[in-house]
Amino acid sequence: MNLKKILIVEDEDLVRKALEFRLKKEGYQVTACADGKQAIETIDGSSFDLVITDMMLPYNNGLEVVTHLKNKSKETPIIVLTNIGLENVVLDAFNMGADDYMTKPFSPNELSVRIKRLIKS
Amino acid sequence: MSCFTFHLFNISVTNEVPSELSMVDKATEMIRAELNSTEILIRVCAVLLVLFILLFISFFITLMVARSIHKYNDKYKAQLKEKYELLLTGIIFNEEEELETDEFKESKQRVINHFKKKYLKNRKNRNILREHIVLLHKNFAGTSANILERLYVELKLHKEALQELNSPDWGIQANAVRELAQLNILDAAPKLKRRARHENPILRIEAQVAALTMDEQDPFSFLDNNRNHLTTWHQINLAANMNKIGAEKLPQFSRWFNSPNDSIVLFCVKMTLQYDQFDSIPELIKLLKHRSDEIIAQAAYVLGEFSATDADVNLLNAFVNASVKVKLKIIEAIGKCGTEEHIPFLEQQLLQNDLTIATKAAEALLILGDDGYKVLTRNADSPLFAVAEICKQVLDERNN
Repeated sequence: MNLKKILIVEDEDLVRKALEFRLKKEGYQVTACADGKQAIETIDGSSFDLVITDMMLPYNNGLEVVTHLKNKSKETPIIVLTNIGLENVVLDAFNMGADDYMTKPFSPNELSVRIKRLIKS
Repeated sequence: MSCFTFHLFNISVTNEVPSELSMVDKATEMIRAELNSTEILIRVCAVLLVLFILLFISFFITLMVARSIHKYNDKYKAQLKEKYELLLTGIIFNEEEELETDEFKESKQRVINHFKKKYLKNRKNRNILREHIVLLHKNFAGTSANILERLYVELKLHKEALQELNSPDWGIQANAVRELAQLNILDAAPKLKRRARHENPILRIEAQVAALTMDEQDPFSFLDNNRNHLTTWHQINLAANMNKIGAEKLPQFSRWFNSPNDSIVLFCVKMTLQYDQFDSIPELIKLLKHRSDEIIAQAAYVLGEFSATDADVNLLNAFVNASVKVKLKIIEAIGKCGTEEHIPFLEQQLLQNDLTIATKAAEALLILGDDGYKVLTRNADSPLFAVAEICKQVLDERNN
């Protein structure tokens, strides 16, 4: 079976691992990165069906990850994760090509639904 | 001769020897004394050196021990973190229906009992788990957040936080308040509310934010009779956390317009605008007679934003003896809630010597539509250079 590949970029260890666990449980093939630099290198090395990225990241921020991914593959959908009060950052991310966003704290169930919708489309 | 010489010599010898001897003695004594003092100095130096070396070695050993303890703690924390990650991720990501099954409840209880026995006996371990639960709860909402809340209580971690509320350190108290509020421990609400008037501003903010989310009856009661100044930072914190509570719990903020605490009045005027409480227009109009310029300016601004046409007379009355800051806000408000009736007033302000007032009046005229536009066009040819320039500037489409 061809598993859909998802990249998670999140600097918070516990949150990243929890998301990884959840998405693996749902049957996705998950790659996880802890910072923007590592994410950009990973994006260069392989392709993904969907990317979930936090906006506040060490080295390269989420916006740079979004820009880099969209320059490489315009079709890959991106969901950005952000904190309350950073709506301007979300707007910038949408301008750069992000497809959806979720504000922390977010419901993992809702995230699953959004992932399914974006991967289908 | 020789005898004489000898005699002389003898004499001289007998005369000179004692003095030479005493000089040598003196010199010897001096050298000896010098040597003695140098020796003492050397001894002192040696003792100091030994002390310094001992101090250095003990410092080095302490440093190494501290480093190893730190390393050991980090390693231990990392190991524990992995165990907790397994526990938490295994429990929180389950569907609502799954949670209610006996099978899930049983296996969850088994895991919890195992963790209680093995990892949660000492306080340090419990604190690490608390940190993890709080962090996950900060990031996840919905069912996962509810599971975390239940788990936090089942493991009796809330008792640790409740104990910390009695700490003499306000920082520890503030963290405990935040944690209990975040994890929605409603039993702790009265204890948290008591800290909403604490003398320490950080603890006070945390307790007030907690009251917003936990006090079902009257979440803003901490504003009653509150004498503490609400700083801008404090107001931002409260406003940001109001998003967490339902609209039905929001009070009519005009309730505090008569507060003797100006910072509370100012905050409530801002919130009246934030939550579109148009019913408060009559109370806002009354605030135009307030003793504080800042409150009058804010009330005028909100009346303008609400397009409160009924407020025009009161705004014009307040304008008469107002400060420049208030006048600017009133002109701005007239621009938003005024009609063509107010054009003569605004034109009068346009001809003021104060350029900030004149500019604001020109901007207000532009908002008032065709009649205001005509006044600006006419004044763009005014012989008064400043007035003409202001009108041209405002009419220039590139600036709009």
